[in-house]
Amino acid sequence: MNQNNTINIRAIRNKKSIKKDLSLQPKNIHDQFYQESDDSEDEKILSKIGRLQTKKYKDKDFIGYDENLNKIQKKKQFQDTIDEFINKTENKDWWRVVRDELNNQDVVLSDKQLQMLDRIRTGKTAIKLADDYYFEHEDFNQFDLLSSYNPKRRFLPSKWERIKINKLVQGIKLGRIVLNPPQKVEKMFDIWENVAEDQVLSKYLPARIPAAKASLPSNVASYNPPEEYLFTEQEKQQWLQTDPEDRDIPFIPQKFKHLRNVPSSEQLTKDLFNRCLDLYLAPRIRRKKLMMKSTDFLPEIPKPEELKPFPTKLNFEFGQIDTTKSGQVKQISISQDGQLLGVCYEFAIAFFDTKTTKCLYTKWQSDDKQFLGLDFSQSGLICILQSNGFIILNSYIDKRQHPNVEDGEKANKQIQKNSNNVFEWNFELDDNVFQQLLEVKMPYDPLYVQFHSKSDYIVSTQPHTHVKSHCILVHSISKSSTSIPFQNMKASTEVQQTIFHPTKPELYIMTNKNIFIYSLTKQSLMKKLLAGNQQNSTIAIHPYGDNLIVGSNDQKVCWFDLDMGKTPFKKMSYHKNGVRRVIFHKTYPLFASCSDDGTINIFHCRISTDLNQAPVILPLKVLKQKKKESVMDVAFHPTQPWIYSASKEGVVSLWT
Amino acid sequence: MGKKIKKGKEGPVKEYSSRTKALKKLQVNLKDFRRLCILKGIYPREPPQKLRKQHKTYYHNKDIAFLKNESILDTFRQRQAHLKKIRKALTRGDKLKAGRLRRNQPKDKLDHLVKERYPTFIDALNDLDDPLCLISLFASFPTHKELHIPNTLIRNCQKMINQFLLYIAANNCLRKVFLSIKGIYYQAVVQGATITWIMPYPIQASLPLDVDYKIMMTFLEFYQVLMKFVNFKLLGQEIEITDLSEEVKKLKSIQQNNQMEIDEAFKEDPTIQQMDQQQQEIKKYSELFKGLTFFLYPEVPKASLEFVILSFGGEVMWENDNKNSQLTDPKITHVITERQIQKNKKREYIQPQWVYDSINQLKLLSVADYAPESTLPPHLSPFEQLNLEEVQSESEEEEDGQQKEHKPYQNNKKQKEKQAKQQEKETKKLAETMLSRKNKRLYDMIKRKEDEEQQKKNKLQEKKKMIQSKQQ
Repeated sequence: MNQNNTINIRAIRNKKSIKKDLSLQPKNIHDQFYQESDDSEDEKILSKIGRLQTKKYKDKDFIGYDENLNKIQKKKQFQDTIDEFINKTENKDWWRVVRDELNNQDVVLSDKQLQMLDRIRTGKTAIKLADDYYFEHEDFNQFDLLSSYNPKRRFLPSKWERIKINKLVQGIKLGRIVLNPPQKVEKMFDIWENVAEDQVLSKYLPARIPAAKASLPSNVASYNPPEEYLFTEQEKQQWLQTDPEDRDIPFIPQKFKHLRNVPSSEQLTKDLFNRCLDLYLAPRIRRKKLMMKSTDFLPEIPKPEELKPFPTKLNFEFGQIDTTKSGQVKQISISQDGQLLGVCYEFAIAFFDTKTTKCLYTKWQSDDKQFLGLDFSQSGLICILQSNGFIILNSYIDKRQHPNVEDGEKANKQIQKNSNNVFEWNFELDDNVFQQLLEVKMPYDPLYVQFHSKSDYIVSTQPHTHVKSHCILVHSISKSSTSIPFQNMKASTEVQQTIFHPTKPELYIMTNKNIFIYSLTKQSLMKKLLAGNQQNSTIAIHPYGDNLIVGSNDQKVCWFDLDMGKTPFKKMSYHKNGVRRVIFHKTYPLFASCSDDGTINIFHCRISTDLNQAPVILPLKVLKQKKKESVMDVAFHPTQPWIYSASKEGVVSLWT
Repeated sequence: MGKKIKKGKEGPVKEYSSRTKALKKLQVNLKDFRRLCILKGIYPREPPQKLRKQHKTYYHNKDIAFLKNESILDTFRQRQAHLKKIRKALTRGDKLKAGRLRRNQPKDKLDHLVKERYPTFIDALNDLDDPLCLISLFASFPTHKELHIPNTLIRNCQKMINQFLLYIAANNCLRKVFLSIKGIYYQAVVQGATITWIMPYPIQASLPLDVDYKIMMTFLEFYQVLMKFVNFKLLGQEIEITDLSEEVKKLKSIQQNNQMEIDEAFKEDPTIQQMDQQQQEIKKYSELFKGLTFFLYPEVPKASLEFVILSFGGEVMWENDNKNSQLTDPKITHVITERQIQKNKKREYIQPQWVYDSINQLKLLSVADYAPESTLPPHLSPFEQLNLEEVQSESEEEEDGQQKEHKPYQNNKKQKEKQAKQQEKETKKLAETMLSRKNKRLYDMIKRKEDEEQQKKNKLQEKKKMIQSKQQ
């Protein structure tokens, strides 16, 4: 019923259907109208309260009075709303039931009544008259006679429509227009079945750089992390204050009691979005990453025990000389065979036998003169520096003369004695244990002297000259002459020490800051080494001649590899005070440095002939003096791993 | 004398071109270029030192040439022409035509890109992390009209991820799981390739608006195609998944039927023995939960637990219309819940973290710590396992040291140890002085990093001690 009803209503609304139904309508419109409307006249009304509002009886248990003034009791249809609801569900016609308050009853509306209601609602006449259309337009069109005729075009098919349809049809036929194209059902297939097919392509492309994988989460990211990972109040504040880009952890770690308490976060979406951006926007490059621990870098060091022998402890102290008279030690030196140890005090020179530790000979200086240094040559000559000149002795007792000196004596006789000559050579024999062979007088104090390996040439350094070019002097014994190799010296250079190269004809000149290497054959500067120190104090060259050490007053010892450039290969700063002397051992791979802080450092230095291998330098031992006096000079025994040291007080000690 | 070479015409500089140049060369707009790059997997490269100062993005010329020959570029142009047609129809008021044209827009076909980017299957597996993350993220999204996230996309993503999870569960590939704040991390080993991905928690996701979803969806477009082929290769068929556990059972039965038995003659071959070993290792994973049946209460993440338990050989049940899975079932050995409920003595009551922790440690942990009423032990990241052990061992050492202090007769030994340690320190110092300048710089850098890490560890240790002392 319900469905039919709605269909009817729809049909009424539709004007076209009304036109079609015209013939079906009854001819007498008025008949139909009155037939239906008459019904309402016969209805009886129980309650005769007139126009009084029913509200007035709302609280009472009756609804009004009937013809005989009897009260009409209220009839309650349902106990409560639940009953009403149940009724609704059971009664299919509940929606068309209307409560008639006056008659105290429910009225079920009939289909016709519903139709009427619908018509009223849509603004039409309550009852369907013959033709709505006719009624609406009759008054306006009654004089329009032509309107009753349809024009011809209404009966002919439209030309333009035909053209358009033809176009569409043609388009469909040709396939230009596709109406609802059939959806292709893709058949799945194994795309990687033929492997070798497309691999050629990658040849022509630049190497692919795969994106780095996203980092894996650590304990901090857990929903239930260990207690220590949570932020304290202080850390939280710190986290909030730092810039989002600088944060170690991009979120505040949280702890949830249960898994169900974890809220949904937008962080994941944001992170994945950033990852997407990285994938297509970030420039890629292949970088080598070192997956090494710091300990992998450390070279394997031989243990100090394996590098023995080297001096480790104090063996003996030489003490036969009255140090109050002799003054402090200037320099010590040891003869080439290791038998004699020469100690140069301020006012005395002592020679010790190294085997018996006996003092063989002492030479005292007169008060106005000082001893300044000494050096042993390979053939047994000893050069002793003193104020205004030096003397040369012969250490061998049985040999009264030395061939070089004899030559020199001959040469000296040939030279005509000029009064202008600054350097005086005297060949006078003396009857001592150690024979004095000759004496050279100079107008200034030489500070350092070194024999050339053939014991003919001596180079002496005298920094405090009034003539700058006389800083470095080379003396030839066989020619009994003194030459000035550097005529044009700058006033600013302060030469500290000059040494010969052990094998090549080269001269190493150490100034305050730099080291100059001069070739004696070419008479030119070969190389300049920059130590980077403020005040160089001492220099030593390795017996092989490829390496050099320089000590400075600013506590540093620099190792130069002459093949490796002009800057130090290694700088060592183990001393706490100025370095007094550095020396190499002639046979063992050792070198030592002594300093004003009272220590002697022994180093191991392994030099290989392979140029690719860098020299290995290892600090081995620190020898400490008892009284922490400054160590003035050290000397290695030429054949034994022993070192002799001389303190400022004049104590000479042997370390083995 | 040859011709004078102009700047930027020769050498490695010539191999790179900036983005604007590339756009000109390809004759596309920036939007299309972006899409093209994403689909083809082309990325900018760090140019030679000379160009780096200019703060532009540079592409390799060969990459651009590679893009130029792409067939998608044709469809781009076709689509542009098509859009013009639609616009024209609309301005003429021909809605019929416009609608028809709109329905018949040319579509990109991306199948060939998969083969191009990943020539072998293993390549694809190695690069599966990002696709899985993004697909599982979108599978959790609600449809959103304004952001143009259609329902079909979400459905497809769900299908893809479910298919993949099915393979993982059926083949026991899962290795590690980690419950983070953001989501659940899974790590699986598929045919030798380690794949790690994250899945959001099964809560209605809220979509942040400061994210460009179009870019993500372009990525997704390719990832969907890739996953489609990967899933097909893995499963060998297309499966619509409704019930994961049933599908897993089905697949496993198929696998058992297909298992080859090796002839005894070949069994001594070393490669086959190796294979045997591998299989036994995999057995460890597949038999962790063997014989256990878990009952899930509604408050626990059902999908995740089901997947995880199935892939380690367990069985899962939960309350639903299906009569087979009810709490009264005698098969049930473990009940996973987070609420305190009446207990049956025959069953173990645990919180979901027990499952994940047992998997990460590859043994069944004691149930008592994970009971619903007790506070859970901390959930640690399985990806950080190495560090953890170190920290533990260190702390043990320290404890040992403390114990030794009470025993006087061990003092001598201790002193000796001390001396040895000092010597070690000295030799280390010596060795440091031996380093060349170049190595020294590297050494210092690495040392600094190590020290920082060590400091962090120490800080954590201190904090831990503080907390422990407070609790006591």
